Order: sequence, then structure tokens, then C-alpha cells
Amino acid sequence: MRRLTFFVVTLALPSIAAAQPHAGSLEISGGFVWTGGYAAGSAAANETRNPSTGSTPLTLFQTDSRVSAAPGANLRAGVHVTRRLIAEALFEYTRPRLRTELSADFEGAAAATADTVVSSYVIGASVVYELGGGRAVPFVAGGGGQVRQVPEGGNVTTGGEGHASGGIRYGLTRSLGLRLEGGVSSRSKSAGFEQKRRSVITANAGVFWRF
Amino acid sequence: MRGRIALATICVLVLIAVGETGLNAYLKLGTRLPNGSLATMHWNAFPIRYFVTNRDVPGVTAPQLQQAIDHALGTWGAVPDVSISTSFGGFTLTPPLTGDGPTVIGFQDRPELDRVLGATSFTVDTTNGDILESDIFLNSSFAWSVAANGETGRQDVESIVLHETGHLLGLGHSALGETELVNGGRRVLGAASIMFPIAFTAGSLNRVLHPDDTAGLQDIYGNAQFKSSTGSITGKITKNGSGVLGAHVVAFNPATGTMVGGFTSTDDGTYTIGSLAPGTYVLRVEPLDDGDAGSFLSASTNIDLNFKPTFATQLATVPRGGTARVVNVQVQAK
Repeated sequence: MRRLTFFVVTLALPSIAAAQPHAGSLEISGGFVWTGGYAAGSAAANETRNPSTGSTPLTLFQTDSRVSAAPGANLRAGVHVTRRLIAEALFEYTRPRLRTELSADFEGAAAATADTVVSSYVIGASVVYELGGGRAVPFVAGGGGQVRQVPEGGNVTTGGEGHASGGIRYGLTRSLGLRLEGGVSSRSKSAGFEQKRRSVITANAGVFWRF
Repeated sequence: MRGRIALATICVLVLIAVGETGLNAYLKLGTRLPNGSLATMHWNAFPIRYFVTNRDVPGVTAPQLQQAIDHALGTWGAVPDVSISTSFGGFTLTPPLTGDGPTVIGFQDRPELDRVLGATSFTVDTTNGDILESDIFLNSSFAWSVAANGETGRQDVESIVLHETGHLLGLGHSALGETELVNGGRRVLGAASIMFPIAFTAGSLNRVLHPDDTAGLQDIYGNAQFKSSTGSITGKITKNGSGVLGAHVVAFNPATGTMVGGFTSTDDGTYTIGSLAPGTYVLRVEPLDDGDAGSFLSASTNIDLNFKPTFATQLATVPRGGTARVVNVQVQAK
């Protein structure tokens, strides 16, 4: 019975979602975001070797770090520049975990994992271009902004962020719709022990409200 | 004035007093004030004027010794964010004797100290911790060298003087080193501090400061900008619910590869590692079993050596000018 109800609603949607946006239409959207994990650097805790006992550094222990994939939330506010082109502002928040595997201890300390949580914020702007009309509208998007990372108890690290994505916007009603999107976010600074630009896979699912 | 000055002859290779306040990173030398608190020993007047005993030993003349001292003090003086200076007062016939006024560095025959290459002693104003005089002797019972690349079978003067002048400036011993037992003694396998109490094998050079050394000097003499741009990590080390005294705690920053050590200095197992650059650190705890525990902390204290080296399961992120979240570590008996 529940299944039948859903079917009826779906059939009814095309007629009420057919209304097209126009230049000046406003949108807000929000939803869940998922950012992918990445390797965050390996390092050895080295001591200077007494030359009479060897020529390579004495490694006290080894570290291998990784930032975990993390769920989060995002919020967008946009305006239709044209019927198909939307300029939008973006705020995204995730809390990935920085994990460091500790191993190969010179004095036999048991291998362990140490971790901490990093709060990650992206504040930016995007341009969205819809590739068609109707109820299910594919789109591509791109933009940039600033990424701010705050390890638990630490200082804010700020870097640049650029992103490219694609997805589909699915109208449920004249004003309300779903937005599914996948893409890549390139970040000049990111949590971890190697300060280099990283590309992070992102996915998000949410709803938008047009008015 | 004289009555307020204690002739605290501290042979730092043998004994370092441990206080009840935090011993930040490395180990700073301290003196007990009349009110019972512990003051960091430090120089308050610069330049530090020193004299060199005018005595040659096989392989090293007094001027060569002075040149090595000048290099070593220059190495310490080049540490960023500190302002210390020294000046050479001249050669003297006076041996390095504590309590005679001038700061003297020189060779002395000490055959009875068959495992001591050198030692540093102090005269300290016990009302405020000011160092008034410090003397360094190098044991001429050993063979010495000033060769640029070292000389097999001879101790490198500059390497040992770099260690001893670290004491002269107020640093105690660091435990950042690994050793093995050989012929009833300890041989160093590796070290990450000039202030490790056991020297490399004769013929080796060890003339470069490590982050642990610079953190120690900056802790004592760092300027306001340094203090506001660095932070610390603190916490407790416990075993079976009780604090561990004398545990060595190492903070390692995987981003920079730097290691800075500290100690638990109270019965409740509290440690503090200061002068750390902002960043995220791994913490490792170990017993003081790579040397005579008494060379790090006072032998009168009940130093616990019976626990396994252990990693903290929490990463510690040091903020600029602040303290990381408390990181406690539970260790287990061996």
C-alpha cells in the first residue's frame, strides 16, 4: 500500500514541476555532504646515529597517517542569472578524523593508532549551469573559495579551494527539488602532515527551494 | 649578599635536582628558592664573560680550546629568538674552580673520573636562580682532538664543549637517545639531542644542535615573540591508577620530523613539554632506562623504570601561544 502511494505521487509530479525558473529566481539548498579520505603522510622519528654503530639514522618509530572520509552538511544560496545559469554561495562543514598509525618502535612499544578530529569549513562560490529542462535536469558546476581547517585544540589553517562537479537536479514540486552531486575539491591546505595541494572527492545530496 | 649565595656545585653529569614544578621539555637546571619554589637557573647579565685555562694537552693547545669554545657558544648563540652573548676574557692560569668568581673553562686531570669526559658546575644566587659563575672542566685523562673531521680514538673538543656549554647556559640532560650495554658501560646508538648525557664514540663529531636543544634554550631565554608563537603539551602518565615519576615523554611532529622531550616530575605523573611550534604531535612515553636515571633527575627521587614504552592514542595539537588539550597516557608494567 505504501508503495502504491509513492507511485501516485511520482506520477503527479511532472505537471507541477514543469514551471521554469527565470532570471532573478532565488534558491536556497542544503543537505548532506561526504568528503573522501586521503593519505596524510608518512614519517620516521629519527635520531642521529652514533657513527661507530652505523651510517643510517636510528629510527625510533614510524608514522603513517590518513585523513578519514567524513560526512557533513552544506548550505547554499543562489540566484538565477539566466534561466539555466545560477550563481550561488556555499558553506560546507565536515569533521574528518586524522589517524596516525604508530609502528616499528625501536624499543618494542606496541603498535597503536592515535587520532584527533579536524573541523573543516569551506566557504566559497559556484556557478551552476543546467544542461536541459524538465523535471530531471543535469548540471555542471564549478567554483572556488576558502578552506579552513581547525584541528582539535589547534589554530585555524586557511587555504584556497577550487571545485568542479556535476549532478542532477530533480524537481519535486514547483519550488522544491532534490539535488544529487559528485565532484572533486582541490585544496591548497588540508589536514595532515604533508602540506601540499590535495584533491578530495566529494558527494552531496540535499534539497533545494526556489522562490 | 654573600650569605645569600649558595655555592651550589652541581656536577651535572651526576646529579640534577628535580623540582616540584613542571620541567618543560629537555631538562632545565633549577634551584630551590627560600620560599620552597623552584627557579630556573639562568644568566641574567650579558655578555657572559669567560676565561680559558692556559694549559695545553696532547693534541690541543689552549688557543685551540678557546677556538672550539667560541664555535660552540656561537652555535648556541645562533638559536633563533634568543638573545644571549658571550665574550672571551682571556687566558688564565686559574683552573676551572667553582666559587672563585670568574667563569673558567679548561682541561683538568681527573683520572679518578674514568667515565666522565667533562662536567659543568655553578655558583647560583639561590634567591632568584641567577647564575653568577659557571666552570667547565674537560678531563685530560682522555685523548682529545680539534681536527675538523675528528680523529680516531680521540674525543672531539667542540662536540663535548657544545654539550657542556649547554649546561653552562642552564640546560640539564635530555633523554632523547638510545644506548646498549657494552663491557659494563653504555654505548650510544643514536641521539636526538646534544644534551644526551653519554657521548658518541671517540673520533665522532656531534656539533649540530637538535630541535630538543633549541627548544630548551628558547624556553629559558626566548623573547616575548617566541613565547607567544609557541605552545605546550601537558598531561599525566599513570600506571595502575597512580602517577609515574620520571617517565620520559617525547613529542614528535610528523610534519617536521622534530622531536622534543619532557619528563614527569611529580608523584602524580604530570608532564609538560614546552617551546613547541604550533602543529600536531605524536606522543610516546618511555622509562629513563637509556642511561643512569640519576643523570636526568635527582637520584633521591623514586623514579619508576618498570613500564613498557607506550604511545598515546590521542594526537596533540599545539596552538600558538597556548596549551594543547590534555593528553594522559596509561602505561603497563613490563
